[in-house]
Amino acid sequence: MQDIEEFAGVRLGPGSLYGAITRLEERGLIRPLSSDSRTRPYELTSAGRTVLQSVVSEMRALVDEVTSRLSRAPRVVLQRSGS
Amino acid sequence: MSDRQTRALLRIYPPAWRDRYGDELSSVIHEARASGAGSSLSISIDVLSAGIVERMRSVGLVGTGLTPEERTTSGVLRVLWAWIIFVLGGIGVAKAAEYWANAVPSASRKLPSTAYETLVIASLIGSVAVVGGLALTSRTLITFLRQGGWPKVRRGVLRAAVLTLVTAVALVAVSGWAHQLDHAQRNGSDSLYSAAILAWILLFVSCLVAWTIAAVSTARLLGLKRPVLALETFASFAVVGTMIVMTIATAIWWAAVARSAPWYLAGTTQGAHGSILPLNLVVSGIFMLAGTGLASSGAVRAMRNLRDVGPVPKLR
Repeated sequence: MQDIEEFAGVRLGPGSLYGAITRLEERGLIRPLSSDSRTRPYELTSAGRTVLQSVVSEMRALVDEVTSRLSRAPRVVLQRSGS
Repeated sequence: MSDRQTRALLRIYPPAWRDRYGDELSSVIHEARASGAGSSLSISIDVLSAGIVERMRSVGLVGTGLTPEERTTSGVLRVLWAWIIFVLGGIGVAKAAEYWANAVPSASRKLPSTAYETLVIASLIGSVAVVGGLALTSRTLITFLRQGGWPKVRRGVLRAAVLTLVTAVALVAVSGWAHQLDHAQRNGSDSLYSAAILAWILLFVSCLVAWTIAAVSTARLLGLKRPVLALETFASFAVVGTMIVMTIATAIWWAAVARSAPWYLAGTTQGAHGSILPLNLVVSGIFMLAGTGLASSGAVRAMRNLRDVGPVPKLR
């Protein structure tokens, strides 16, 4: 939970975290690892890695598009104010 | 948060979920508390709300299945839950409408009478559609039980059966009691009897809910095929149709009685003033509207996902 809060800036409660873990495991995107401690670590499956890469690509494309439009925005504003 | 409190919190989750994740979640809750990641209250609210969602998923009210078959089944099961909610509202209306015909002048009786008859006929058609929908799964259910499925559903079915037995025994006891009381005592003047009736109603509702949980839990294990799912979806729309008709009929009956005999709705003597929005009818109306809305969303969900279920195999 601390890790998620540090890199994403989102505080997940224990219930929300295990809701997410349940869905991800049901979909075969993560799997539990054996552990001696009471907390159990999970790892991405190959399907999970593929889905994550796909989501990251989509986010990257979205960021590129928004960045591109932002760089054009001042010119649009100037054209409008000049007309 | 003590171990006992944590265990109590985890009781909100379905047993199968607790068996798989209970220990892990319990240790994460303790870690969160120890590290000061949240107050006891915020952690409790988070765990409780997530547990309720898991409970609702386990009985098919919310959630996304992995396959179109599962999603279609889930939509149909949502209609079944909605029907139960609607029935509770319907019982309230039936109780409120027990003696309406005596209160309304015969000259003004045609419209509420037609509306009430429509309500009764639609409720019969809806019941047939629900029973038919359940009967459609019988062949798959028999195969499932023959293949050793009984232990998976035994707990829910036995719980519902025991509740039914208790409800039936309680009904006999309450009926016997009622025969020893006069009209006024049966209609509210005997508070002990009224409390017993309320307890019996709660028992009856628990019984309905227990059977629905058993039916839903079983249906989710059956793996229904497209022809059955298509018929179930059709039955779902039939149920939604009857719910809409019943809701409209109730509204018309209510308005007609409110116009010609408002004292009946207010529960006062003839000619006296009072509210035409009695609490029991308002609550019943809310149940009926909620049931209709939930059923509509379930039927639409079933239809949308049915398109993605594999085609009907050709008959040779």
